[in-house]
Amino acid sequence: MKQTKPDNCVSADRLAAGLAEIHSLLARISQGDTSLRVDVTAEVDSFGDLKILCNQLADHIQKLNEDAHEMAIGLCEHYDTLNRIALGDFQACAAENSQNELVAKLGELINKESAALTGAISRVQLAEAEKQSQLNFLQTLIDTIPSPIFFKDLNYRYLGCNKAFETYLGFSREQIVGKTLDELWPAELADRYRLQDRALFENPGSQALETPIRYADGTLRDVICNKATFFGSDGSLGGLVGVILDITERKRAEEALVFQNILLSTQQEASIDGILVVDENARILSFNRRFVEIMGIPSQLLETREDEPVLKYVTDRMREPKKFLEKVKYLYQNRQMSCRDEISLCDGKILDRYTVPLLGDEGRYYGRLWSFRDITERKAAEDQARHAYQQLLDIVEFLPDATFVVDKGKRVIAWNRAIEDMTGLKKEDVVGQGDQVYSIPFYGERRPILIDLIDEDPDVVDSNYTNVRRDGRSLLAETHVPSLCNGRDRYLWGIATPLFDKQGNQVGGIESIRDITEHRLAEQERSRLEAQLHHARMMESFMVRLGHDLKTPLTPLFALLPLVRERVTDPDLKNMLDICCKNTVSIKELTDKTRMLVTLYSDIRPYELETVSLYSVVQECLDECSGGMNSKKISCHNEIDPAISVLAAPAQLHELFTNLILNAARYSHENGRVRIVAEECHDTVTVAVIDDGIGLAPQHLESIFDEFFKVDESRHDLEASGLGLSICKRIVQNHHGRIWAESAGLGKGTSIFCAFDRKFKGIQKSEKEMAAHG
Amino acid sequence: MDSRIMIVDDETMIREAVKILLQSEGLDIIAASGGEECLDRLRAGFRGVILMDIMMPVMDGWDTIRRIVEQGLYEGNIVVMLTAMDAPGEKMEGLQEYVTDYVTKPFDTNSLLDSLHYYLSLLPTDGDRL
Repeated sequence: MKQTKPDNCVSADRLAAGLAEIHSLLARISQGDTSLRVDVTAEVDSFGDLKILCNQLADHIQKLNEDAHEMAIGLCEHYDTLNRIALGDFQACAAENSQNELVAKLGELINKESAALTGAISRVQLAEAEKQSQLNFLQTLIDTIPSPIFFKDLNYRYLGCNKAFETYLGFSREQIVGKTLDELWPAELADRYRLQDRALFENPGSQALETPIRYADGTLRDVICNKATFFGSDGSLGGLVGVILDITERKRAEEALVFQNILLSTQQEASIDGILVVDENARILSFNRRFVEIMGIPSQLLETREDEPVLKYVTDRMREPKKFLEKVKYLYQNRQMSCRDEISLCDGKILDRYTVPLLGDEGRYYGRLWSFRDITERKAAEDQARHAYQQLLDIVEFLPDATFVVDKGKRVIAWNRAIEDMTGLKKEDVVGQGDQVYSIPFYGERRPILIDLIDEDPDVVDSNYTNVRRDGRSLLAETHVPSLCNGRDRYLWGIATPLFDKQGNQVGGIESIRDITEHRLAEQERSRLEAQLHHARMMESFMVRLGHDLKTPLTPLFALLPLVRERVTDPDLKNMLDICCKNTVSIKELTDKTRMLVTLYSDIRPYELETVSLYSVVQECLDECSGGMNSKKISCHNEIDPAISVLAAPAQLHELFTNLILNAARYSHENGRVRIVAEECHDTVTVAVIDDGIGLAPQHLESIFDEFFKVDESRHDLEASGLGLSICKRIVQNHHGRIWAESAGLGKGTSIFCAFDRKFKGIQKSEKEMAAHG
Repeated sequence: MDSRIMIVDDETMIREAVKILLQSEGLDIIAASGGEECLDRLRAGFRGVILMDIMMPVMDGWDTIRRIVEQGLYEGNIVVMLTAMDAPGEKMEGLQEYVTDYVTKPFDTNSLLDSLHYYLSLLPTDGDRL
């Protein structure tokens, strides 16, 4: 059923239908269907206008589409033109007659800009070519630089490098450029370089770092890596450029220089000399501590390095300042001169000054070196040595032995008074002369003598000169000179010794010569006496032995003869046996006396001496000899003062007086008289045994003391051994006394005197004897 | 009869002379030609007066006395030295106390006999030896 709608409902339906139509129209226009049009009739008036609007919109859009199309075509053409231009086709032109004014304008503009661009591009290309050329030049330039060069950007990426850097790294430039630190270096080095680069980027400018680096070929080099930041055209930090300077050789040279400097300064300081070096302008270059010490210069004065004040200070200290200064100035003026002299300071120092110019290879003058050595002690030692030398000459001069001294060249430098006396040659004729002049007075010609042998090989001397003896460095010899100087036959003893200086260098020799002629003669005499003594001792020994050997066979005779005599009854046999006994006794006495005499040939020692009363000892002897006295009825008188005594060996004194009394009795007449007297006079005690017997002829007064002396040689007096007075003489001589005989002549009695010296105290043992007895 | 006298001498003549002399006086005597024989006699028991010559070869009188003393043979003896020398030598030092007397050769017969009689009287008797 169809319902009838009200009016308002019909309007709404119509409105909706118009809206739907318009909506559909707009939707289709919006979807691009700009050709759609609608009938502008409308159920609603307002919709007609709206429809008109929609149609107009569609018209516009259509128009817009057409323009857009036109523009797109134009733009495509322009794009193509621009693309061609961009690809370098500067001849490409845009169409300027486009339907679209904008596109046509654009084409016109493009053509205009294209023309401008073509010009600009040409300029850019030229600039690019120029820039490339410059870059090539720069690359070539830095490649020629032997030091490694590199560039990095702010990201530590290598932008470029030179060939030296390639060599250093062992990579090609292509391998380097664009690489970062981490890509080229071990992590440790990369970190270090990054830190260094970062520090530079944070403080743009330059950076220099000295470090050892190892090249790709393994060599280790000392380098200075100089880096500097660079900036872009806009002023912003662009990166850094680095140059590695190989300073290995320089370092070595520097080290060598440092070593040389140390060496020089050490040598200078170690020198015992004070050293000052000044330049050509007399400014002080260097000095050592010893120089300061020697000169006593205040250090602040030297610090000025000015020579003038130092020179003034030193000059003031000189003993002869004017002379010193003149010499210094002279040497500064005469730059090529060297000089050595001695200078004296006021404080007593003496300096050995030596100066040499510092000259280059071509004689260029760089300054002057002054050297000062303190020779005060050496000078003092030299003075002492000179003094000692003079003393030596003085000593040599007054030596009792003939002495001369030669220097190393065997020139005579001393010839003393004693050798002048010995040779007759004066020192002025010898001193200063060489060529063995010293031998002439001894041998009449120039020839080697003992002093010439001190330089010879000891083996040669020992084998060729048997009379030369060696004592350490000295040579000793005895020689016979048949014609010394004036023809005297002399025996000489000499000693020659080399002379040495403190350093042990032989500087000469000294020879002393002694005339030992007298000594030699005395020695010969001594040898003769010793031979005699030896002979005497042999004799003594022989006599002792003989005494013993005689006594041995006498013993049985002594024992048995009396026994035989007792048993014999025949008177004649008894007489014969008496004679035998008597002769046996004589032999015994002779033996005893001989032995006594021999044993008396030895000194009396102090301990053997005793104070002996002369009276007492004489009285004892008289008592013992009374038998002999009584048989001849001789009266004997001891008239000695009992107070008189002597220091003597008692046994010897007893033997002395026994012999003297028996001797007096033997040569006294029957009823004769013997007196023994003594007297003291000062230190002498004289004893006399006086008889009134047969007396002595004057010629026998001395010889009666000789061994075996008998007045009548032809008479063999068995009772007299002939040794009694010899024994007496020996005993008195042993006491350092004197014995002598006096007689008024034959038949007028004899007096034997013995004088004793009270001062005699005995003989001490000689050193030789003491040594022999331990 | 036991001998109470011994002569020690290297000289046969002296030994014989002394023996004759003493035997003529009725004294018994034995003889030794040197020190060693003297020691043997002493070891064998001899005790009495020893007449000892000083100068003997090999072992002289002083050496012999020293050995006698060292070997304990001195007791009961009297030693009389016979010497041709007057002065005793250095060898006697320390031994003199063992020597009773010195008799110088050639000796006087009577004085020798007197001395011997005297020294014999000083000797202990056989009873004493017990």
